[in-house]
Amino acid sequence: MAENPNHIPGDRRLFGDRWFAELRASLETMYRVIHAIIIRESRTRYGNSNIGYAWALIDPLIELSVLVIAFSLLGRTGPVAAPLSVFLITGIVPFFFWRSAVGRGASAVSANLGLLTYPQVMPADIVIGRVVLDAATTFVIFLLFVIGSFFIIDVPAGMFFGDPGGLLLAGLAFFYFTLASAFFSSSLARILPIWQNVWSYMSRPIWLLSGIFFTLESLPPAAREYIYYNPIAHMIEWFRSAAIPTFESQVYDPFYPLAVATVFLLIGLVIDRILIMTGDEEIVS
Amino acid sequence: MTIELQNITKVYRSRRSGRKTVLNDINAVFEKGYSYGILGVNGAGKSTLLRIICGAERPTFGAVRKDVTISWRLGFSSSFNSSLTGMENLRFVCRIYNRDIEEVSDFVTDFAEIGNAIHEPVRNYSSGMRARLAFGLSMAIRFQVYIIDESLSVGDFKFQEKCQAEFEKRRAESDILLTSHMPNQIKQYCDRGGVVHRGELTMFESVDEAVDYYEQVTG
Repeated sequence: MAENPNHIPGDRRLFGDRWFAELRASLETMYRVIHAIIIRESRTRYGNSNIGYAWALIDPLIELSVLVIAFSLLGRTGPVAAPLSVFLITGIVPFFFWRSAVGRGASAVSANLGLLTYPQVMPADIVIGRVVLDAATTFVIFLLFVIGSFFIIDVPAGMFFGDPGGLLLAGLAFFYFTLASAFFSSSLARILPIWQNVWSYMSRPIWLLSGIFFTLESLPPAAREYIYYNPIAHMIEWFRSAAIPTFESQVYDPFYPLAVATVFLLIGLVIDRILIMTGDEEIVS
Repeated sequence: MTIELQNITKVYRSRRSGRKTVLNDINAVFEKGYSYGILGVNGAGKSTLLRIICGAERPTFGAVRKDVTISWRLGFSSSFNSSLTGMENLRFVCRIYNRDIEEVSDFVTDFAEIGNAIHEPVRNYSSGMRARLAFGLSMAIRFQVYIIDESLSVGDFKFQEKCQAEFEKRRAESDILLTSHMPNQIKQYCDRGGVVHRGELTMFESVDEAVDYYEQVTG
Protein backbone atom coordinates (compact mmCIF):
# COMPACT_ATOMS: atom_id res chain seq x y z
CA MET A 1 0.00 0.00 0.00
CA ALA A 2 1.38 3.39 -0.97
CA GLU A 3 1.92 6.00 1.70
CA ASN A 4 0.18 9.36 1.73
CA PRO A 5 2.86 11.85 0.78
CA ASN A 6 0.88 15.00 1.37
CA HIS A 7 -0.90 14.10 4.51
CA ILE A 8 1.11 15.28 7.47
CA PRO A 9 -0.72 15.96 10.74
CA GLY A 10 0.05 18.91 13.00
CA ASP A 11 0.33 22.65 12.99
CA ARG A 12 0.45 24.01 9.47
CA ARG A 13 1.29 27.61 10.36
CA LEU A 14 4.60 29.12 9.30
CA PHE A 15 7.42 27.42 11.27
CA GLY A 16 4.89 25.05 12.93
CA ASP A 17 5.49 21.29 13.27
CA ARG A 18 3.69 20.48 10.10
CA TRP A 19 5.35 23.29 8.19
CA PHE A 20 8.75 21.82 9.01
CA ALA A 21 7.60 18.29 8.21
CA GLU A 22 6.31 19.44 4.83
CA LEU A 23 9.48 21.38 4.11
CA ARG A 24 11.54 18.31 4.95
CA ALA A 25 9.37 16.07 2.78
CA SER A 26 9.65 18.40 -0.20
CA LEU A 27 13.41 18.78 0.20
CA GLU A 28 13.74 14.99 0.27
CA THR A 29 11.67 14.74 -2.91
CA MET A 30 13.81 17.43 -4.52
CA TYR A 31 16.98 15.56 -3.59
CA ARG A 32 15.61 12.31 -5.04
CA VAL A 33 14.50 14.03 -8.24
CA ILE A 34 17.81 15.82 -8.78
CA HIS A 35 19.71 12.60 -8.16
CA ALA A 36 17.52 10.78 -10.69
CA ILE A 37 17.95 13.59 -13.23
CA ILE A 38 21.74 13.55 -12.90
CA ILE A 39 21.80 9.81 -13.67
CA ARG A 40 19.34 10.26 -16.52
CA GLU A 41 21.30 13.17 -18.01
CA SER A 42 24.59 11.31 -17.80
CA ARG A 43 23.01 8.35 -19.62
CA THR A 44 21.43 10.45 -22.36
CA ARG A 45 24.52 12.57 -22.82
CA TYR A 46 27.21 9.94 -22.67
CA GLY A 47 25.36 6.78 -23.63
CA ASN A 48 25.67 3.53 -21.82
CA SER A 49 29.30 2.65 -22.22
CA ASN A 50 32.35 3.78 -20.33
CA ILE A 51 33.70 4.94 -23.68
CA GLY A 52 30.71 7.27 -23.79
CA TYR A 53 31.77 8.98 -20.59
CA ALA A 54 35.41 9.01 -21.69
CA TRP A 55 34.29 10.71 -24.88
CA ALA A 56 32.46 13.33 -22.83
CA LEU A 57 35.84 14.16 -21.31
CA ILE A 58 37.88 13.77 -24.49
CA ASP A 59 35.66 16.06 -26.52
CA PRO A 60 36.26 19.24 -24.50
CA LEU A 61 39.83 18.15 -23.77
CA ILE A 62 40.61 18.15 -27.49
CA GLU A 63 38.83 21.46 -28.04
CA LEU A 64 40.62 23.14 -25.15
CA SER A 65 43.97 21.54 -25.95
CA VAL A 66 43.81 22.89 -29.49
CA LEU A 67 43.26 26.40 -28.14
CA VAL A 68 46.01 26.12 -25.58
CA ILE A 69 48.50 24.67 -28.06
CA ALA A 70 47.57 27.17 -30.78
CA PHE A 71 48.13 30.15 -28.53
CA SER A 72 51.29 28.67 -27.10
CA LEU A 73 52.68 28.12 -30.61
CA LEU A 74 51.88 31.70 -31.57
CA GLY A 75 54.65 32.37 -29.12
CA ARG A 76 52.64 34.84 -27.13
CA THR A 77 53.55 35.10 -23.54
CA GLY A 78 50.84 35.44 -20.97
CA PRO A 79 50.37 38.60 -18.96
CA VAL A 80 51.27 36.79 -15.76
CA ALA A 81 54.46 35.28 -14.48
CA ALA A 82 53.38 31.71 -15.17
CA PRO A 83 53.51 29.37 -18.15
CA LEU A 84 51.04 30.41 -20.84
CA SER A 85 49.33 27.01 -20.60
CA VAL A 86 48.56 27.57 -16.91
CA PHE A 87 47.19 31.00 -17.69
CA LEU A 88 44.94 29.73 -20.49
CA ILE A 89 43.72 26.59 -18.70
CA THR A 90 42.69 28.49 -15.57
CA GLY A 91 40.61 30.81 -17.77
CA ILE A 92 39.23 28.57 -20.46
CA VAL A 93 38.13 25.60 -18.32
CA PRO A 94 35.87 27.56 -15.93
CA PHE A 95 34.63 29.78 -18.76
CA PHE A 96 33.52 26.78 -20.84
CA PHE A 97 31.70 25.38 -17.83
CA TRP A 98 29.78 28.63 -17.42
CA ARG A 99 29.04 29.00 -21.11
CA SER A 100 27.77 25.48 -21.60
CA ALA A 101 25.68 25.66 -18.40
CA VAL A 102 23.90 28.80 -19.63
CA GLY A 103 23.21 27.07 -22.96
CA ARG A 104 21.93 23.94 -21.24
CA GLY A 105 19.81 26.09 -18.96
CA ALA A 106 18.19 27.74 -21.98
CA SER A 107 17.06 24.36 -23.32
CA ALA A 108 16.41 22.72 -19.93
CA VAL A 109 12.65 23.17 -20.01
CA SER A 110 11.85 22.98 -23.72
CA ALA A 111 13.86 19.75 -24.08
CA ASN A 112 12.18 18.13 -21.07
CA LEU A 113 8.49 18.93 -21.35
CA GLY A 114 7.65 15.23 -21.07
CA LEU A 115 9.69 14.93 -17.90
CA LEU A 116 7.82 17.88 -16.37
CA THR A 117 4.53 15.98 -16.52
CA TYR A 118 5.72 14.12 -13.42
CA PRO A 119 4.28 16.36 -10.72
CA GLN A 120 7.34 16.11 -8.48
CA VAL A 121 9.75 17.26 -11.21
CA MET A 122 10.25 21.03 -11.25
CA PRO A 123 12.17 23.08 -13.85
CA ALA A 124 14.69 24.09 -11.18
CA ASP A 125 15.49 20.41 -10.54
CA ILE A 126 16.44 19.92 -14.19
CA VAL A 127 18.67 23.00 -14.20
CA ILE A 128 20.39 22.01 -10.95
CA GLY A 129 20.90 18.44 -12.16
CA ARG A 130 22.48 19.61 -15.39
CA VAL A 131 24.77 22.15 -13.74
CA VAL A 132 25.93 19.69 -11.06
CA LEU A 133 26.79 17.13 -13.73
CA ASP A 134 28.65 19.75 -15.75
CA ALA A 135 30.51 20.88 -12.66
CA ALA A 136 31.68 17.34 -11.89
CA THR A 137 32.83 16.85 -15.47
CA THR A 138 34.62 20.21 -15.44
CA PHE A 139 36.41 19.26 -12.24
CA VAL A 140 37.70 16.05 -13.82
CA ILE A 141 38.76 17.95 -16.96
CA PHE A 142 40.66 20.48 -14.86
CA LEU A 143 42.50 17.67 -13.04
CA LEU A 144 43.31 15.99 -16.36
CA PHE A 145 44.83 19.25 -17.60
CA VAL A 146 46.90 19.57 -14.45
CA ILE A 147 48.17 16.00 -14.83
CA GLY A 148 48.69 16.44 -18.58
CA SER A 149 50.64 19.66 -18.09
CA PHE A 150 52.91 17.91 -15.61
CA PHE A 151 53.73 14.95 -17.85
CA ILE A 152 53.82 16.70 -21.24
CA ILE A 153 55.23 20.16 -20.64
CA ASP A 154 56.70 19.67 -17.19
CA VAL A 155 54.60 22.24 -15.36
CA PRO A 156 54.41 21.38 -11.65
CA ALA A 157 50.90 20.85 -10.32
CA GLY A 158 51.57 23.54 -7.73
CA MET A 159 51.24 26.12 -10.51
CA PHE A 160 47.49 25.41 -10.50
CA PHE A 161 46.93 25.32 -6.77
CA GLY A 162 48.59 28.46 -5.44
CA ASP A 163 46.11 28.98 -2.63
CA PRO A 164 44.09 25.76 -2.12
CA GLY A 165 41.62 27.28 0.36
CA GLY A 166 41.08 30.34 -1.81
CA LEU A 167 40.73 28.13 -4.86
CA LEU A 168 38.01 26.11 -3.17
CA LEU A 169 36.20 29.33 -2.28
CA ALA A 170 36.60 30.68 -5.82
CA GLY A 171 35.36 27.35 -7.20
CA LEU A 172 32.26 27.41 -5.00
CA ALA A 173 31.59 31.02 -5.96
CA PHE A 174 32.01 30.08 -9.60
CA PHE A 175 29.52 27.25 -9.14
CA TYR A 176 27.01 29.62 -7.53
CA PHE A 177 27.49 32.16 -10.30
CA THR A 178 27.04 29.48 -12.96
CA LEU A 179 23.98 27.92 -11.33
CA ALA A 180 22.33 31.33 -11.00
CA SER A 181 23.14 32.18 -14.63
CA ALA A 182 21.79 28.85 -15.87
CA PHE A 183 18.59 29.22 -13.85
CA PHE A 184 18.10 32.77 -15.11
CA SER A 185 18.70 31.51 -18.64
CA SER A 186 16.11 28.75 -18.23
CA SER A 187 13.47 31.14 -16.91
CA LEU A 188 14.20 33.63 -19.68
CA ALA A 189 13.85 30.92 -22.33
CA ARG A 190 10.44 29.97 -20.90
CA ILE A 191 8.99 33.45 -21.46
CA LEU A 192 11.11 34.37 -24.50
CA PRO A 193 11.78 31.25 -26.58
CA ILE A 194 14.00 33.31 -28.90
CA TRP A 195 16.53 33.58 -26.06
CA GLN A 196 17.93 30.20 -27.08
CA ASN A 197 18.85 31.59 -30.50
CA VAL A 198 20.08 34.89 -29.10
CA TRP A 199 22.37 33.03 -26.72
CA SER A 200 23.81 30.82 -29.45
CA TYR A 201 24.96 34.00 -31.23
CA MET A 202 25.96 35.85 -28.09
CA SER A 203 27.99 33.06 -26.57
CA ARG A 204 30.66 33.24 -29.26
CA PRO A 205 31.78 36.88 -29.08
CA ILE A 206 31.29 36.96 -25.32
CA TRP A 207 34.38 34.91 -24.71
CA LEU A 208 36.63 37.53 -26.26
CA LEU A 209 35.39 39.97 -23.61
CA SER A 210 35.63 37.67 -20.64
CA GLY A 211 39.25 37.88 -19.72
CA ILE A 212 40.43 34.54 -20.99
CA PHE A 213 43.27 35.92 -23.11
CA PHE A 214 44.05 38.86 -20.87
CA THR A 215 43.74 39.87 -17.26
CA LEU A 216 41.71 42.83 -16.08
CA GLU A 217 44.90 44.10 -14.52
CA SER A 218 46.85 44.14 -17.80
CA LEU A 219 44.19 46.08 -19.72
CA PRO A 220 44.62 49.78 -20.45
CA PRO A 221 42.27 51.75 -18.16
CA ALA A 222 40.07 52.88 -21.07
CA ALA A 223 39.27 49.28 -22.06
CA ARG A 224 39.08 48.07 -18.49
CA GLU A 225 36.30 50.54 -17.79
CA TYR A 226 33.99 48.60 -20.12
CA ILE A 227 35.12 45.04 -19.43
CA TYR A 228 34.70 45.84 -15.75
CA TYR A 229 30.93 45.52 -16.18
CA ASN A 230 31.28 41.90 -17.28
CA PRO A 231 30.78 39.79 -14.14
CA ILE A 232 32.30 36.66 -15.69
CA ALA A 233 35.58 38.56 -16.21
CA HIS A 234 35.68 39.24 -12.47
CA MET A 235 34.98 35.57 -11.72
CA ILE A 236 37.81 34.41 -13.95
CA GLU A 237 40.22 36.97 -12.52
CA TRP A 238 39.25 35.76 -9.05
CA PHE A 239 39.71 32.10 -10.00
CA ARG A 240 43.11 32.80 -11.53
CA SER A 241 44.28 34.84 -8.57
CA ALA A 242 43.52 31.88 -6.32
CA ALA A 243 44.92 29.24 -8.67
CA ILE A 244 48.16 30.77 -9.94
CA PRO A 245 50.70 31.24 -7.14
CA THR A 246 52.55 34.06 -8.91
CA PHE A 247 49.45 36.09 -9.74
CA GLU A 248 47.30 38.14 -7.42
CA SER A 249 45.10 40.64 -9.23
CA GLN A 250 44.34 43.88 -7.44
CA VAL A 251 41.48 45.01 -9.67
CA TYR A 252 38.73 42.40 -9.43
CA ASP A 253 35.79 42.68 -7.08
CA PRO A 254 34.43 39.36 -5.74
CA PHE A 255 31.20 40.97 -4.55
CA TYR A 256 30.17 42.34 -7.92
CA PRO A 257 29.69 38.96 -9.69
CA LEU A 258 28.08 37.46 -6.57
CA ALA A 259 25.61 40.34 -6.44
CA VAL A 260 24.84 39.91 -10.14
CA ALA A 261 24.37 36.17 -9.59
CA THR A 262 21.95 36.82 -6.74
CA VAL A 263 19.93 39.19 -8.90
CA PHE A 264 19.90 36.56 -11.68
CA LEU A 265 18.74 33.96 -9.20
CA LEU A 266 15.95 36.16 -7.81
CA ILE A 267 14.65 37.14 -11.25
CA GLY A 268 14.82 33.50 -12.32
CA LEU A 269 12.87 32.42 -9.23
CA VAL A 270 10.20 35.08 -9.71
CA ILE A 271 9.62 34.10 -13.35
CA ASP A 272 9.59 30.41 -12.38
CA ARG A 273 7.06 31.02 -9.58
CA ILE A 274 4.75 33.09 -11.78
CA LEU A 275 4.77 30.46 -14.53
CA ILE A 276 4.07 27.70 -12.00
CA MET A 277 1.30 29.64 -10.28
CA THR A 278 -0.51 30.61 -13.46
CA GLY A 279 0.12 27.28 -15.22
CA ASP A 280 0.77 29.37 -18.29
CA GLU A 281 3.15 27.09 -20.07
CA GLU A 282 3.38 24.70 -22.93
CA ILE A 283 2.56 21.13 -21.98
CA VAL A 284 2.78 17.70 -23.50
CA SER A 285 -0.60 16.08 -23.90
CA MET B 1 -11.27 13.80 1.68
CA THR B 2 -9.23 12.25 -1.05
CA ILE B 3 -8.96 14.69 -3.92
CA GLU B 4 -10.49 18.13 -3.63
CA LEU B 5 -10.71 20.62 -6.48
CA GLN B 6 -10.96 24.18 -5.24
CA ASN B 7 -12.08 26.87 -7.69
CA ILE B 8 -10.19 25.37 -10.61
CA THR B 9 -10.10 27.63 -13.64
CA LYS B 10 -8.01 26.95 -16.71
CA VAL B 11 -7.47 29.52 -19.41
CA TYR B 12 -5.42 28.76 -22.50
CA ARG B 13 -3.85 31.62 -24.36
CA SER B 14 -3.06 31.38 -28.00
CA ARG B 15 -1.63 34.02 -30.33
CA ARG B 16 -4.04 33.06 -33.09
CA SER B 17 -7.30 32.41 -31.30
CA GLY B 18 -6.91 34.50 -28.17
CA ARG B 19 -8.02 33.39 -24.71
CA LYS B 20 -10.12 30.33 -24.18
CA THR B 21 -11.58 29.34 -20.82
CA VAL B 22 -11.63 25.56 -20.78
CA LEU B 23 -12.61 25.03 -17.15
CA ASN B 24 -14.55 27.63 -15.23
CA ASP B 25 -14.42 27.70 -11.43
CA ILE B 26 -14.73 23.99 -10.75
CA ASN B 27 -15.30 22.68 -7.23
CA ALA B 28 -15.56 18.98 -6.54
CA VAL B 29 -14.55 16.30 -4.06
CA PHE B 30 -13.53 12.78 -5.03
CA GLU B 31 -13.87 10.55 -2.01
CA LYS B 32 -11.76 7.57 -1.18
CA GLY B 33 -13.34 4.17 -1.79
CA TYR B 34 -15.34 5.25 -4.83
CA SER B 35 -14.47 5.10 -8.50
CA TYR B 36 -15.56 8.10 -10.52
CA GLY B 37 -16.49 8.48 -14.13
CA ILE B 38 -16.51 11.83 -15.89
CA LEU B 39 -18.63 12.23 -19.01
CA GLY B 40 -18.30 14.92 -21.62
CA VAL B 41 -18.30 15.44 -25.36
CA ASN B 42 -15.01 15.80 -27.23
CA GLY B 43 -13.39 19.11 -26.39
CA ALA B 44 -15.46 19.67 -23.26
CA GLY B 45 -12.34 19.83 -21.09
CA LYS B 46 -12.20 16.26 -19.72
CA SER B 47 -8.55 15.72 -20.58
CA THR B 48 -7.55 19.12 -19.25
CA LEU B 49 -9.31 18.28 -16.00
CA LEU B 50 -7.45 14.97 -15.75
CA ARG B 51 -4.08 16.58 -16.50
CA ILE B 52 -4.70 19.07 -13.72
CA ILE B 53 -5.77 16.34 -11.27
CA CYS B 54 -2.73 14.17 -11.93
CA GLY B 55 -0.40 17.17 -11.75
CA ALA B 56 0.85 17.15 -15.33
CA GLU B 57 -0.47 20.65 -15.77
CA ARG B 58 -1.27 23.49 -13.41
CA PRO B 59 -4.52 25.44 -13.24
CA THR B 60 -4.67 29.17 -14.00
CA PHE B 61 -6.52 29.73 -10.71
CA GLY B 62 -7.46 27.42 -7.89
CA ALA B 63 -5.82 24.46 -6.23
CA VAL B 64 -5.92 20.68 -6.06
CA ARG B 65 -5.72 19.27 -2.54
CA LYS B 66 -5.02 15.58 -2.20
CA ASP B 67 -3.93 13.04 0.37
CA VAL B 68 -3.47 10.08 -1.94
CA THR B 69 -0.93 9.14 -4.57
CA ILE B 70 -2.28 9.73 -8.06
CA SER B 71 -0.99 7.96 -11.13
CA TRP B 72 -0.12 9.56 -14.44
CA ARG B 73 -2.73 9.00 -17.14
CA LEU B 74 -2.87 5.33 -17.97
CA GLY B 75 -0.61 4.39 -20.85
CA PHE B 76 0.81 7.92 -21.09
CA SER B 77 4.35 7.51 -22.36
CA SER B 78 5.48 10.95 -23.55
CA SER B 79 7.35 11.32 -20.28
CA PHE B 80 9.80 8.59 -21.33
CA ASN B 81 13.12 9.65 -22.72
CA SER B 82 13.26 7.94 -26.09
CA SER B 83 17.05 7.64 -26.24
CA LEU B 84 17.10 5.70 -22.97
CA THR B 85 16.11 2.05 -22.68
CA GLY B 86 12.86 0.96 -21.11
CA MET B 87 14.79 -0.24 -18.08
CA GLU B 88 16.58 3.09 -17.66
CA ASN B 89 13.28 4.92 -17.82
CA LEU B 90 11.89 2.48 -15.27
CA ARG B 91 14.81 3.13 -12.93
CA PHE B 92 14.27 6.88 -13.26
CA VAL B 93 10.60 6.57 -12.31
CA CYS B 94 11.48 4.34 -9.33
CA ARG B 95 13.98 6.93 -8.13
CA ILE B 96 11.57 9.86 -8.26
CA TYR B 97 8.75 7.84 -6.65
CA ASN B 98 11.09 6.26 -4.11
CA ARG B 99 10.30 2.65 -5.00
CA ASP B 100 12.50 -0.43 -5.00
CA ILE B 101 13.94 -0.83 -8.50
CA GLU B 102 14.20 -4.61 -8.39
CA GLU B 103 10.64 -5.14 -7.20
CA VAL B 104 9.23 -2.80 -9.83
CA SER B 105 11.27 -4.24 -12.69
CA ASP B 106 10.23 -7.79 -11.75
CA PHE B 107 6.59 -6.77 -11.87
CA VAL B 108 6.93 -4.83 -15.13
CA THR B 109 8.86 -7.49 -17.04
CA ASP B 110 6.23 -9.99 -16.02
CA PHE B 111 3.25 -7.75 -16.70
CA ALA B 112 4.13 -5.66 -19.76
CA GLU B 113 5.17 -8.69 -21.87
CA ILE B 114 7.74 -6.78 -23.89
CA GLY B 115 10.50 -9.31 -23.24
CA ASN B 116 14.08 -8.33 -23.96
CA ALA B 117 12.92 -5.12 -25.60
CA ILE B 118 13.05 -3.59 -22.15
CA HIS B 119 16.80 -3.23 -22.71
CA GLU B 120 16.27 -1.45 -26.04
CA PRO B 121 16.00 2.33 -26.42
CA VAL B 122 12.37 3.41 -26.14
CA ARG B 123 12.58 5.10 -29.55
CA ASN B 124 12.58 1.61 -31.10
CA TYR B 125 9.28 0.73 -29.40
CA SER B 126 5.92 0.60 -31.12
CA SER B 127 3.29 2.84 -29.57
CA GLY B 128 1.63 -0.25 -28.10
CA MET B 129 4.87 -1.29 -26.39
CA ARG B 130 5.36 2.18 -24.94
CA ALA B 131 1.83 2.17 -23.56
CA ARG B 132 2.33 -1.31 -22.05
CA LEU B 133 5.52 -0.21 -20.36
CA ALA B 134 3.84 2.91 -19.00
CA PHE B 135 0.85 0.91 -17.84
CA GLY B 136 2.91 -1.85 -16.21
CA LEU B 137 5.02 0.77 -14.49
CA SER B 138 2.03 2.63 -13.07
CA MET B 139 0.68 -0.70 -11.77
CA ALA B 140 4.02 -1.55 -10.18
CA ILE B 141 4.30 1.83 -8.43
CA ARG B 142 0.96 1.05 -6.72
CA PHE B 143 -0.87 4.35 -6.80
CA GLN B 144 -4.02 4.87 -4.77
CA VAL B 145 -5.91 6.53 -7.58
CA TYR B 146 -5.53 5.54 -11.22
CA ILE B 147 -6.35 8.10 -13.89
CA ILE B 148 -7.74 6.76 -17.14
CA ASP B 149 -8.20 9.02 -20.14
CA GLU B 150 -10.25 7.39 -22.86
CA SER B 151 -7.94 8.78 -25.53
CA LEU B 152 -5.13 6.58 -24.25
CA SER B 153 -6.24 3.02 -24.69
CA VAL B 154 -3.61 0.42 -23.97
CA GLY B 155 -2.53 -2.39 -26.24
CA ASP B 156 -4.64 -5.04 -27.94
CA PHE B 157 -7.82 -6.70 -26.72
CA LYS B 158 -5.98 -9.40 -24.78
CA PHE B 159 -3.85 -6.89 -22.93
CA GLN B 160 -6.90 -4.79 -22.09
CA GLU B 161 -8.53 -7.83 -20.49
CA LYS B 162 -5.41 -8.33 -18.42
CA CYS B 163 -5.55 -4.70 -17.31
CA GLN B 164 -9.17 -5.10 -16.26
CA ALA B 165 -8.35 -8.19 -14.25
CA GLU B 166 -5.53 -6.31 -12.52
CA PHE B 167 -7.88 -3.46 -11.62
CA GLU B 168 -10.40 -5.96 -10.20
CA LYS B 169 -7.67 -7.32 -7.92
CA ARG B 170 -6.81 -3.78 -6.80
CA ARG B 171 -10.34 -2.66 -5.98
CA ALA B 172 -9.70 -2.71 -2.25
CA GLU B 173 -6.65 -0.46 -2.34
CA SER B 174 -7.02 1.65 -5.46
CA ASP B 175 -9.76 3.77 -6.99
CA ILE B 176 -10.27 4.76 -10.59
CA LEU B 177 -10.95 8.14 -12.10
CA LEU B 178 -12.05 7.68 -15.67
CA THR B 179 -13.24 9.95 -18.46
CA SER B 180 -15.28 8.94 -21.45
CA HIS B 181 -17.82 10.21 -23.92
CA MET B 182 -19.55 6.82 -23.84
CA PRO B 183 -21.95 6.26 -20.89
CA ASN B 184 -21.62 2.46 -21.10
CA GLN B 185 -17.93 2.50 -20.18
CA ILE B 186 -18.63 4.60 -17.12
CA LYS B 187 -21.51 2.35 -16.05
CA GLN B 188 -19.23 -0.66 -16.24
CA TYR B 189 -16.45 0.64 -13.99
CA CYS B 190 -17.63 3.48 -11.80
CA ASP B 191 -19.65 4.03 -8.62
CA ARG B 192 -20.25 7.73 -9.08
CA GLY B 193 -20.36 10.07 -12.02
CA GLY B 194 -19.89 13.63 -13.18
CA VAL B 195 -20.43 15.60 -16.36
CA VAL B 196 -18.19 18.26 -17.86
CA HIS B 197 -20.19 20.62 -20.01
CA ARG B 198 -19.24 24.13 -21.19
CA GLY B 199 -16.43 24.38 -18.68
CA GLU B 200 -18.59 23.37 -15.72
CA LEU B 201 -18.33 20.10 -13.79
CA THR B 202 -21.52 18.72 -12.23
CA MET B 203 -21.11 15.78 -9.84
CA PHE B 204 -23.76 13.14 -9.08
CA GLU B 205 -24.20 10.52 -6.36
CA SER B 206 -24.83 7.80 -8.92
CA VAL B 207 -23.70 7.01 -12.43
CA ASP B 208 -27.28 6.77 -13.69
CA GLU B 209 -28.06 10.33 -12.67
CA ALA B 210 -24.89 11.50 -14.39
CA VAL B 211 -25.81 9.64 -17.56
CA ASP B 212 -29.31 11.14 -17.54
CA TYR B 213 -27.92 14.64 -17.17
CA TYR B 214 -25.32 13.98 -19.87
CA GLU B 215 -27.98 12.83 -22.33
CA GLN B 216 -30.10 15.82 -21.43
CA VAL B 217 -27.40 18.43 -22.08
CA THR B 218 -25.93 16.79 -25.16
CA GLY B 219 -29.01 15.28 -26.74
